[in-house]
Amino acid sequence: MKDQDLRFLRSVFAEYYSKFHEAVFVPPPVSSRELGFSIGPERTMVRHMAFGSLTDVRRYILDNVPWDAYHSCATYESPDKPMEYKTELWVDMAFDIDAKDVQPDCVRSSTYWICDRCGLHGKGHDKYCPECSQENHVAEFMNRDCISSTAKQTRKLCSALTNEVGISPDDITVYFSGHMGFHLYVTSREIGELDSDARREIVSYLALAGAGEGLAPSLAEGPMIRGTGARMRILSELASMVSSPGEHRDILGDRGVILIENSAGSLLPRLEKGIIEDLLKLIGARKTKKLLKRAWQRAAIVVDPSVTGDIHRLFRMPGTLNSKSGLPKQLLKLEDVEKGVFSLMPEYGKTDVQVFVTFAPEMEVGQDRVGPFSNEVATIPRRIAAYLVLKGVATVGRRG
Amino acid sequence: MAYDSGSSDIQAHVFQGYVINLRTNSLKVGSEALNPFFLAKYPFVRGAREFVAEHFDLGAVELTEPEHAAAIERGFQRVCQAIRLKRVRFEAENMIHYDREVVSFPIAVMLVALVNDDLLRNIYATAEAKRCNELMLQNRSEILDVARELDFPFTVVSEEGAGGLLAIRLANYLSHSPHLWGEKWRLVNRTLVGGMVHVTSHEFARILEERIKRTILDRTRVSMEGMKLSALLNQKRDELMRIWGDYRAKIQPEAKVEHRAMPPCMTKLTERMTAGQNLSHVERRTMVSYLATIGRPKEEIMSLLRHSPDFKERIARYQLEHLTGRGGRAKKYLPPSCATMKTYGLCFPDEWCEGIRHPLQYRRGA
Repeated sequence: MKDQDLRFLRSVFAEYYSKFHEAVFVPPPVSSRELGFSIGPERTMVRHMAFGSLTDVRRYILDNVPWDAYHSCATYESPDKPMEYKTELWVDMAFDIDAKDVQPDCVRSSTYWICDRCGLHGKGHDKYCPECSQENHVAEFMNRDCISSTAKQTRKLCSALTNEVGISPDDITVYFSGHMGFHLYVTSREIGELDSDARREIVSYLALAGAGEGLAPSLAEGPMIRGTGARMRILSELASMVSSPGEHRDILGDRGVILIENSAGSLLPRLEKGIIEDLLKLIGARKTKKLLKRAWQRAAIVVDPSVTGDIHRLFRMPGTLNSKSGLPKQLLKLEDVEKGVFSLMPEYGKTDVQVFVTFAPEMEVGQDRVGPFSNEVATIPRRIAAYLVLKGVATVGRRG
Repeated sequence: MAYDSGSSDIQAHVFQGYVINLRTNSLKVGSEALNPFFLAKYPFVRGAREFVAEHFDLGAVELTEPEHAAAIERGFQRVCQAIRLKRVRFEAENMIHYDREVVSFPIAVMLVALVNDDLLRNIYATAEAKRCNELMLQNRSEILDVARELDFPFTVVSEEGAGGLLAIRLANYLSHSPHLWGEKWRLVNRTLVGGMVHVTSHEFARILEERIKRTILDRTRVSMEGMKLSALLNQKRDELMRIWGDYRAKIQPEAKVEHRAMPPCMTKLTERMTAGQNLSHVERRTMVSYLATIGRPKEEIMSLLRHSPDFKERIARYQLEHLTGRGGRAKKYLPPSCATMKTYGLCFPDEWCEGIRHPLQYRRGA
């Protein structure tokens, strides 16, 4: 990265922290957390740090303007000592719901290769430029559809955690990760004492992985499917699918869609109770079976198992900027999970700056809609410029 | 000390100054009435522990005087049965001498602690826990009583069916690792509602078996350094050392498995097995199917299995035959894929694991 781009990014990051350092947050008890920062032009990772209070953490961030800041989900007796001497107390359970895991196709469709030498670009991960054979640069851009699907998955996760795993909603906190997904914290003390192995089992449970034949609701059970826990999740998914039959035309066919639409009023309340008899009579066993199979797939909640299972992992610090995007990890209310990403972004970097953009598709970054750009000079808000510079597709000034 | 190990007076009996009325089968400890037979069957429970702690000095000169010979003998027998049979036997006679039975338990724990070998600790704790499981399965109310004594919370969901249905907290369920015992124990195949996992009373007994094993294991880890022992206990310790030495010699030299070419997940399993840890059903099946598939001789696998705290030659040989597709079965079991190993938490990848999807594909570079 050029010096002028580094200086520019640092000024945008510094502006954000000078305005919003109060948003920087470490789950209590702050003094028991290990903190880590990536700092300096080389982005050197400094770990095993500990601070007495949140004020000290905020002051450190204001003074050093890190690229990334992290905290441990674990709490330790001596968080600043090497791992073998830290002595773990308890570990908040963390979930990373990333668009890459939830909607890989969607993320692929907003991934582009860009040739820095000849300026060519295209969709996908192509390693070399077809024109000049130079190694391409690959960038994933923010996409509302991917974020939307991931937000839905996050809501599903919250609901499974409260209804099935028994976590109180007060113990769940949701954040936009600042890039392509959401982070969810569970601060229950009982869960906090589970080891990695037990946490991975919860992840498998949520993803319905390792399920035996008994879990799948089957037509052989008769007119009523009894379900609690994960089975209930599958049945509610079936009810939600039936409430929007048009989305499942490939299974239902035009006639099936019309039949369901016409009897939705009586069908849904009975389906929610697990009574599938009416649906069976309406669309037949073959289609009902296919719907049940899809309901199963949709009920599986995909999270990154390595994040939840690794109890010593560092997690991005809330309120700090993500160096993949220059956007903050931001606290969201559960009901705002989707809307929040695009409408509740803090106000920083609003003034315009001139940048040369090799390529960027049309996209939404926070409240701003920008692009498309192709080998052109653009005058855009500083935070959008920072986003593009961090993606490696723009440089400050009139030409690349 | 009014200890009468051989008394057959079944009307009333003096047990360390506490009157036990055998008509009501109640041993008064403070204000609580505990069934002495219950204490004899489950001598690790709070009631028995409090009783022994209150009335015996485990610093133990008193407890190990010759007049306690019968209790010491039974304590010694408990450990020997664990080594030889992988079970501590509990028979009618043990019920008659229930007082001896209660006291013999801390003596057995002391003997195991004196030998100070993790493999013996595991063998003994597993054998005692299995004995308790068998006893609990004969009487559902004892399952619940043991749970209460061990402070293991549960609620009764339904009394219907054999033994009824219970619910235990998710954290308690997972911390006993039943998800590694096989498919039906995986969380996804259980009913989980509001943080409570449903289990049948028999399943609950199996989970309690694990809790009992851990409780006993912890107790065998006390340091015996500087403890003064009577001549009789010293003699029993020496005898046990000899028996244990012979057992160790029998399993030690054969159980060498070449680790160099094995993936780290399998290396870890074999190392844990050799260290005498009690591998779960899934872990054992994975290890055996891997070793058999890569062509390790059956006897080599058997000698490795001998380290298991609950090893029984006949059962282990049958399981080995079953998994390797010999012994009348055509089906041969392959070890699980890397993805499945991950969901079991058994995957510990190294640089050579990159890009492989199955432990059998593992090839270490030069």
